[in-house]
Amino acid sequence: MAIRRESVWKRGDAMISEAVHPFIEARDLKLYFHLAGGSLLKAVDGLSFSIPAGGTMGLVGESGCGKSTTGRTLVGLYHPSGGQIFFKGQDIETLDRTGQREFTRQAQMIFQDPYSSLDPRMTVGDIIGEGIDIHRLYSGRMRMERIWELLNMVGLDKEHANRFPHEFSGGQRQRIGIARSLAVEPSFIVCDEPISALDVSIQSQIVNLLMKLQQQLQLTYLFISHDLSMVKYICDRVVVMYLGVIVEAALSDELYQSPLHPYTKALLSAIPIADPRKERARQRTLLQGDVPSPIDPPPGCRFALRCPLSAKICREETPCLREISPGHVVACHLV
Amino acid sequence: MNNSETLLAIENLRVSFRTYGGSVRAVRGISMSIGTGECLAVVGESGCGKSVTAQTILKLIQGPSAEIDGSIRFEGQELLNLSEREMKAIRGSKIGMIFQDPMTSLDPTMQVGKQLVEGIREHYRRIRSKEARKRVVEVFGRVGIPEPERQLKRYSYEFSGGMRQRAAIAMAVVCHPKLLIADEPTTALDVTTQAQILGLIHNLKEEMGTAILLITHDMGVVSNMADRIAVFYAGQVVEVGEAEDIFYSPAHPYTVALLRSRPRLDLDRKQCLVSIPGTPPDLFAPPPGCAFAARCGSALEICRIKQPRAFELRKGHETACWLYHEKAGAKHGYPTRERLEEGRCHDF
Repeated sequence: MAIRRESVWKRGDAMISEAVHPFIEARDLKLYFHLAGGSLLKAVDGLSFSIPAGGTMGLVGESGCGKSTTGRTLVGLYHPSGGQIFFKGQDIETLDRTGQREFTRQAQMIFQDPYSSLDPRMTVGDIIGEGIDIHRLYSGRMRMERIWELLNMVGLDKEHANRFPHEFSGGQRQRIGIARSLAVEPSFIVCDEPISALDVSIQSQIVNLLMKLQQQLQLTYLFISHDLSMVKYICDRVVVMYLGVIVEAALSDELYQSPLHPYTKALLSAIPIADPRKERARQRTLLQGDVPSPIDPPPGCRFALRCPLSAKICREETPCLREISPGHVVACHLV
Repeated sequence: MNNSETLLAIENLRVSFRTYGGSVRAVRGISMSIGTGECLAVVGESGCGKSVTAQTILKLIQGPSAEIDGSIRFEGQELLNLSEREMKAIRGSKIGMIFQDPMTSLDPTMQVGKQLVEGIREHYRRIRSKEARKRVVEVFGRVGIPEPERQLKRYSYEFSGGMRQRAAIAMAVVCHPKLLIADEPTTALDVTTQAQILGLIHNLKEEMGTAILLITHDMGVVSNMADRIAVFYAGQVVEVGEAEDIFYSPAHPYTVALLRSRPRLDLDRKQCLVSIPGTPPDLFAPPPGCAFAARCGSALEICRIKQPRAFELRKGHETACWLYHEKAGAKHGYPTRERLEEGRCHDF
């Protein structure tokens, strides 16, 4: 497969502030959960980023860092506790009813678990057709033809429309999930760990399918994953999150070649490489401990407790994102 | 095989499960062996029979629905003939096991320390509780659980995922087993925790000389650990060899595709991702020929008709693929390392 590599991200698009024509943009996005007992879980705490049309942004981090919450907030599944989301330049909070409806059609999501994200009592055709009905896009014969077209697009047969999800394997179910999200002709798709529940040989099928569809339909992706090697392969731009905040963001090649934040470095060095000779020669910076709880995070840099370099200032002052080179931002006092 | 002596030898193992829908042939004639202190990695996708093989070694798969055939010899003793009582003496003391999900392998209603003490006293009745507790503290320290004494009284749900897996490892090695079976020990964990746990298992192997059977689907995980690798597909071993053979001169088209189907962090982005078309075969009715033939770009006519035997490429490196038959190889060319590193897509 030919791979699209001329990037829509121009070097120098200062991604935290203003990309030239952001397709979707988050400004100081916050999402807090109120827990029993009055404590506050800050899942997403002031995230700003933007994705240009046709781009793929990767969002990576360990489990519990708030990446899925960010994705869900972006398509409107959660109401943000603070900050704004701009879709094609318009704040989605200020949209009227028709505008809201249009936004929910254009922004779709592919879920992680292809087993729990499909209703077991609905046929595949109805699962895919539900969105078409809600948005009154097609009806009757046209609707059925559209469903067959979508099935074909994701590599399934039109006979599959009458079957139920349990008759399919994990990879096929994920294809159904993709067809469902494409049914309403979206322009922006949040892929929330779409491959992590799949087998290795099936993962590459799904990834290649997602990339083919992006080219065909000019889609914009937010690709959420903990799999850094897959993110490197798919994404033009990568944002690294830790405990609800961005610690580093850069163009994909740059981030992987010269990571600056100690957390990014540790994350990259933790990934095993399928090459024994290289693996033996590698210098690792192993992180100690686990991600601390996002309830009442420590003051200062959130990574300070696990950081091998942490200094006094790190435990006192919260570092801001600074642009180190064009398009490469990092939040660390010591860089 | 290294010149170490054989610790575990599996000979033509077959496991099938009777269900209402017919008989699932989960393991279809597997032979492999592990030497003392050696790490053998079993790599394959879900449903390829790797976990069933591991559980059969410990005779965790039993009962009327399972049919087991073949031979598993551990230190020269045939495990499949042992009674449940004799087996109990082996589980935990001579063969330890780490499961994928530490949440389900630890008892949530029992203090973590108590679970380990129970294990020790089961095997060594003469050891007093106090003595046993001392040993638990020592092994907790060894697997990197901070403040081991304080952790003894805690419950598994109070631990994080990484800590739980450490406790599960402690439980598996507390009696110094000769063989440790690790069934996807890091799949449920984050990358940073995965690196910690892999480092830990590696150290245990070096320090205690434990042989390890590491089961995983991730080639990256095994690259630093395995001495030898067995690649499983649809209940059979398709290729086995030294780690270097498998990584640098993979022979079976499935192994080649498996290595190329994951993007590598150390390679340039333009690398091509091979996707293997189709899905693994239905083990209710496995195909008569090679199980991979339907998905294989280099399949010959014979591949669909007759199962390939194992061809030895060099000492210790074997593959079950017709392409290596003397009559086939010259004509069709092997999927060699050169082709692999050229980085172009073959039509697998």
